[in-house]
Amino acid sequence: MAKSKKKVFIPTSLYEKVEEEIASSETKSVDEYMIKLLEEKFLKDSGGNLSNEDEDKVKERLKALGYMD
Amino acid sequence: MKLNSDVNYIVSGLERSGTSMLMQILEASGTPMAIDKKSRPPDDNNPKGYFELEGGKIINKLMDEDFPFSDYRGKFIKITAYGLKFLPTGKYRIIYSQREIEEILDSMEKMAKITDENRTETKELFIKLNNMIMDLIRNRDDVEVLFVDYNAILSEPEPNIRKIYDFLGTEEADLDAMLGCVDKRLYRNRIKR
Repeated sequence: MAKSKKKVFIPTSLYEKVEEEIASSETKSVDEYMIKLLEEKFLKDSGGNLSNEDEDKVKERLKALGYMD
Repeated sequence: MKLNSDVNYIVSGLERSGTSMLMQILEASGTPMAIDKKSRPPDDNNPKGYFELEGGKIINKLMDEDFPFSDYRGKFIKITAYGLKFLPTGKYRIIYSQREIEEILDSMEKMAKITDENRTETKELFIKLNNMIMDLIRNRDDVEVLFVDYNAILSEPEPNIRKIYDFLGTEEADLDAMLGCVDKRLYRNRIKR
């Protein structure tokens, strides 16, 4: 199911800067760029270390991929 | 071609972030490599091989403090991101690959033959892991690191592979052969838009 979304407004000048920034990248829309930027910011700000629970989930995934026993 | 025999050279990044392609580029350059091609042979997920040691299961040995780094000085080895958490004090030069997270998740799901029902959670987890490891290696005094972008290497090989060539610090590396490695046909998990 798609995540619900809210509309935000940014200055046209900023929007155009983002358009320039993504013109030669794989990112295809300003929306996508902003979402990625904000996700990375908030995840980074949420703390540098993985919790023990997080690490266990990482290990589970790495085992499924064959990178760990 | 020789690299500094006092240094451990590492290719890293999240699993499925393009580390095998980096290893392939380095092998083409003439750089000494430590690869065990038999333990995990090429397959549909990595048609040109995994370029790993011990089937890529170095992480267990690192966690047990049982990986013989001294045997691999002066050569490139591949240690995926989580393994870098367990690097003992040493002298390292690391090339660290970054890739669009959605492509990494697509590739992981394909490789593990699963549909991730908790993909949003997995995404947050691996972004967090990536940030943690990048901060870790950026801040270690015994690590020199080059961050590269897998997507950028494929879209603009010349300037991006030249950064890797420059990082090697030797004119003996074969830049043309490195450039010849980039195979857009293998760019299979690109985000479809």
